[in-house]
Amino acid sequence: MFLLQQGWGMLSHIENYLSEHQNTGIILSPRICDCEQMERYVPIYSTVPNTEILFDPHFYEPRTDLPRILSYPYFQDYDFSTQTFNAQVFCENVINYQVNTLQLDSIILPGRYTNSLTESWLQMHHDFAHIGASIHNKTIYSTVALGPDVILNADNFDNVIDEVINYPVNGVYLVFEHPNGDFLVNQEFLYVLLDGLLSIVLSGKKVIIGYANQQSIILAAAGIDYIASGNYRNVRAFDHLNSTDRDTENMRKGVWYFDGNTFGEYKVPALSLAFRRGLNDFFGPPTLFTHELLNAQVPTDVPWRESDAFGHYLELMHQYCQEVFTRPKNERAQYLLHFFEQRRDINTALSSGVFPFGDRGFNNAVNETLSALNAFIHDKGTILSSL
Amino acid sequence: MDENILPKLLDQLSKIHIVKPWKKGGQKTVYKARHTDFGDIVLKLVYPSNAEEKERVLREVDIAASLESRLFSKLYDFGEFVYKDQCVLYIVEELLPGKNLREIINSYYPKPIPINETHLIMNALMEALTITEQRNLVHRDIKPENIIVCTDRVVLIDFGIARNLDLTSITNSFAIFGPLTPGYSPPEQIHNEKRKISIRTDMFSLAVVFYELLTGNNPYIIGTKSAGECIQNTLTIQPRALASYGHHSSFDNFIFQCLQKSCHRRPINMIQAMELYNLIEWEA
Repeated sequence: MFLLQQGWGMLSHIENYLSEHQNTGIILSPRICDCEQMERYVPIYSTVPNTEILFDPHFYEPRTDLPRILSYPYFQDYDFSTQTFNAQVFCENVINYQVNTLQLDSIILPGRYTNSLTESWLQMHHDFAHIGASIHNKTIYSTVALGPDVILNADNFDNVIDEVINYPVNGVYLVFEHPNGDFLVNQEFLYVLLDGLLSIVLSGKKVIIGYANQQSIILAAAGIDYIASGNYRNVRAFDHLNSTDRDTENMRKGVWYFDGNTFGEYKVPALSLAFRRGLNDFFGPPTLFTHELLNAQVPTDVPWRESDAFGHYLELMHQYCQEVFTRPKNERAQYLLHFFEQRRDINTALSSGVFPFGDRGFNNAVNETLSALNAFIHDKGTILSSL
Repeated sequence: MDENILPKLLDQLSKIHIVKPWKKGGQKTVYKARHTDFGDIVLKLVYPSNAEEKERVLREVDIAASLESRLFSKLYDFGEFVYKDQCVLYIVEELLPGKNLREIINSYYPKPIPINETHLIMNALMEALTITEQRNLVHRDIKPENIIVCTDRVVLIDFGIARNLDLTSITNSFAIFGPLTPGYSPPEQIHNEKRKISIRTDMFSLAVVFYELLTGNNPYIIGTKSAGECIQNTLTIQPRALASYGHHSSFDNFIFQCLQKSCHRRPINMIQAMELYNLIEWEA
């Protein structure tokens, strides 16, 4: 199932999006709305039927400078730099806010980001999970926010997964930073994630992958339940720093076209050049937002707005997630193998046409993705077939 | 100590008689005895030296009392007796007319025990762990010495360091090692990682016992000279495939999944473990 990861500029579109799409939902962010806005909008979103509404408490880096986050009641009265921090009281306040103020059915517990695993991190998250377990009639998710060093260190990541599978919660909300800050990741990173996620799924827990991008769809092969992604790139790749500067920087990013056939993102002039060279047929599939763009002789002549780019990306992600997540879990890996092989073939064909993929092309990542998936199917095939 | 207390205690436990010393170790003395109602029994006297030890014994008794199955020894009576400021806990259990699995393994050594016996023993132990899992218990000390093979049943004994996952751990969190038996305990027990203790802990130990039954040797103990070496082996080596001993590869599928060093790669529960176990082709 696809979830919207709330990002900048989405507030006015969320209600429409939720109303127009079946089987979806949203992860709301205190980084985007202050608590007054949050408490005003959640009751509105809650009226949309069959919609999952979640709230990410954003405890990743407590020493935030963002006034919106600090406006939330559970963040008030705490100086996280001192020894006075009481994890239990904080966790209870986060839960109370979601249960009593927002009146949500699914609760995301707080989670600290770490890129260096420590006993205190493990103990705190274990404690959070046990506090969450005392809440009845709600679906409780533990937040697990990890840096690439933890994920790529076999002992560390095994240690985390060994503990997470024993958490007395219904699910896990996993967010992770990519190695070297790369937007797309390599086969090793994907394989390690798939391996760990499979164990969490086998332990009977639901899994939400937060801050996902198009490549993250591969993770559905491990039987996870949700992928959350959003409009700007800062909600398509996790960044634990809730810094104002970074948000401003991400706001300045230009308008990109996400191509479902190749899984790359391109600026419209690059698309125009490709169209002039007769490479039109490689791009697609169309959505309501790209009708004019993909049918134009010269795409740069078409006004292509940021809202179209967001709408198109979210529409395709929703569609792809629907296609994957409605399949039985034991069939997903093979389906995704075929799915990414198709993308590889189109990228290969475009490459032979000397198409300039640019920084956001998927031409290199597609082979990394397929290698990870093939290795995962080879090693875990028997277990996958029993999902 | 016993010489003074035992007669006074037996004054109270009037149905127990013909008491003979059997085993002695640590804070515990064990007697074989006869009970008017239950026949042959075991009488255990435990002298806890502190509150934690007492709590551990009480938990063991609670566990034993909750396990009503022929796969576990029957608990008949339990109580606390104080004599001259000395507290003694007494436990009355059935006397199991069988041998422990260590004696049986040794009697066949260097050959493994017959495969049909292994099959019966393993069936019983898988069932026993299914029951303990349902009670949210982790035995934490599965080894041949704690498995009694009688003519008509197999019994898993000694829940002395068992953990009830519903209760707070009473093991010292800062101890370098948790309570363990080198060669049988998995890495999470060796590292005293209490949050990781689960039924998967017992699965690991059971897989070691299974391996030993099939080959005659414990893969982590063979060739070692010290407990430290066993522990090091448990943390680092991958035992030799059972197929190389002539066993069907389905044994490896089950055993090596249970012997995974990271618990998250072992079967998630006994239902899943049983599914794998049932795929074993015993008739090679």
